[in-house]
Amino acid sequence: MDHTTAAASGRPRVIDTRGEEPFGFVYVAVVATEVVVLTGLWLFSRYFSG
Amino acid sequence: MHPIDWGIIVVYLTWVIYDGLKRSKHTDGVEGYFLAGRSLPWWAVGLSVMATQMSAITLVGTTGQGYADGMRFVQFYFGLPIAMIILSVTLVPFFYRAKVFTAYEYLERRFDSKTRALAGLLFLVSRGLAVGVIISAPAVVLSIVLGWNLVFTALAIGVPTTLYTMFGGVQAVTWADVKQMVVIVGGITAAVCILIFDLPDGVGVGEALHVAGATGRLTTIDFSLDLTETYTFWSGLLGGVFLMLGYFGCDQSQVQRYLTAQSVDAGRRSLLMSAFWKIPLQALILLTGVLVFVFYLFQEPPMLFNPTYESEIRAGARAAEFTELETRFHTAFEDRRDAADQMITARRGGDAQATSEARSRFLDTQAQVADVRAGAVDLVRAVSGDTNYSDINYVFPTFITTRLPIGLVGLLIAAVLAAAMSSIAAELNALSATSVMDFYKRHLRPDATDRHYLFVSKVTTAFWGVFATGFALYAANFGSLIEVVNRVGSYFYGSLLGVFILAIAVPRATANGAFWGLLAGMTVVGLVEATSEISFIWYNVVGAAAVVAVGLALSIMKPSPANA
Repeated sequence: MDHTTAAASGRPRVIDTRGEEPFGFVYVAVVATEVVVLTGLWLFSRYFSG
Repeated sequence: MHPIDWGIIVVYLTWVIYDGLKRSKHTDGVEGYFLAGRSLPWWAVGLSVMATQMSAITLVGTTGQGYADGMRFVQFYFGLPIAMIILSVTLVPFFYRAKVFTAYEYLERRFDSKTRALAGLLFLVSRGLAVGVIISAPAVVLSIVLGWNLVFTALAIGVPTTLYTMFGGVQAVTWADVKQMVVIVGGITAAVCILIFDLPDGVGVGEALHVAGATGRLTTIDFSLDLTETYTFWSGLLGGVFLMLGYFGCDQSQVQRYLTAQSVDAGRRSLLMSAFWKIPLQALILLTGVLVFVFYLFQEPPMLFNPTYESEIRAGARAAEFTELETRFHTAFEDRRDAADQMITARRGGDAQATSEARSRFLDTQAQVADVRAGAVDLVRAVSGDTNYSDINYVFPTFITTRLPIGLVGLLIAAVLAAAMSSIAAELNALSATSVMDFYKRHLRPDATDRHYLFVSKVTTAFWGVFATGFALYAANFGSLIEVVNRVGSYFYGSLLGVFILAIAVPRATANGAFWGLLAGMTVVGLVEATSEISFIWYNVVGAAAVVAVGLALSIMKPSPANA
């Protein structure tokens, strides 16, 4: 039987940003940190491999 | 090994077990045992997430990879921060609010019991075997490098871990993970300091890194679009996102970590800790391997770091060939050391032409060393019949036991044991949770008391601990088995991720679509692996896409009554 309904399943929101505090700044910080780390790794690689 | 090093290891093992059990509170119910009553602070959960991901073979294998191949492996983790953000706004709040014990529990609420059972079974099979490998791989390496008995080594890893996981539940696992991460990071940092301190007089860190960089070992980013290359910027960033979404979002050993957090936000923070620190930490571990390479530019290394078959070869018909290779290796090492010295001197002089010539000579001598080592590996494989023979995982343990001072040997061996135990404990706890909640309670005894389930949970943890340790001893004799187990994992994550995408993002997806989509996804990954050369890191993308495509098609062809 294949009878699951949306109501019964309690299907969640695809994107759920609810919480006690906003995380938008933290997500931006994660992306910014990754950009800085990858750039640092690339420069490190270029400097020592050249 | 010196008695002080033994003492450090014994004290470490005793401390982990004692403190882990002491900190375990309110484990008199199943929710306390598996989810710590959702009470743990985010930083402890975050360290536990990182410790779970870093097994002993990751530690010794990654340093070995840094030694042999350089830092390009760091690209494997480039998708992790993005995956953590995606999980923080999708699965973390969702699992937390759903109040589930296991990720697979939700699949029954959304689809049906057979989809939950299939996902749970796949997890039990793949991770049940994998945890045996997590014990086996470091046990083999440590037993050979330290001269310990293999059974003793496997038991030294498996028994204490099973004990504190069985009695203390997830709280013992988490608090032990916190200590283990401290020991791992402390050990690696100490090794880096010793490696820098041990550079020859007058050779600076920058100069040594320039020599290593000439071999390509400091190449960290490769923008190649070749799908058969595992470690490229694009495979790490795109394929890696799917791999990490599958691992952190659908593998119970990780899902259970953030379900123990105090709140949704605490769960998010615990994952985002990895988003900030994982790439720098992996870079540090790989750099440690590169520094071991630099160390052995000036101090003669063994020709082969894995001595398993050495006595057999020396006593056999090809002993003379092996001795000749050793003589050639010694000469090649001396030439390379001279060339490295010349390159450093030339760079210091600032003469571009002389530097270029010295660099070319150094690369020639490095190629000679690599050539002799490759010849030795071929000889070992031919004599022993062990076609999987490799010594990459033995580089760092050999360095630890032969070059570090008393005290640090014990600390670093404790770090390797810590890395193994943290991953094993999380897996045992998750295997027990899935066995009890998704199978025992769901299908065998749905109406028993909480006390009964707690008892069964402890027995199940002990069962998985005994099974994993037993399988470790079996797997230790079959190198190819380890490869098979790892391959099963790569079939699993992408396909399971596809099912969760169907569950959350595709409202019209039906139970049959999800169930058959999951089977189809794994089949497609198997076919892709058998018929193409693309790197395994893309299997997760392929698996997830196949599950969503097949699941959606089936759901459209035969919609559920609600959507019909």
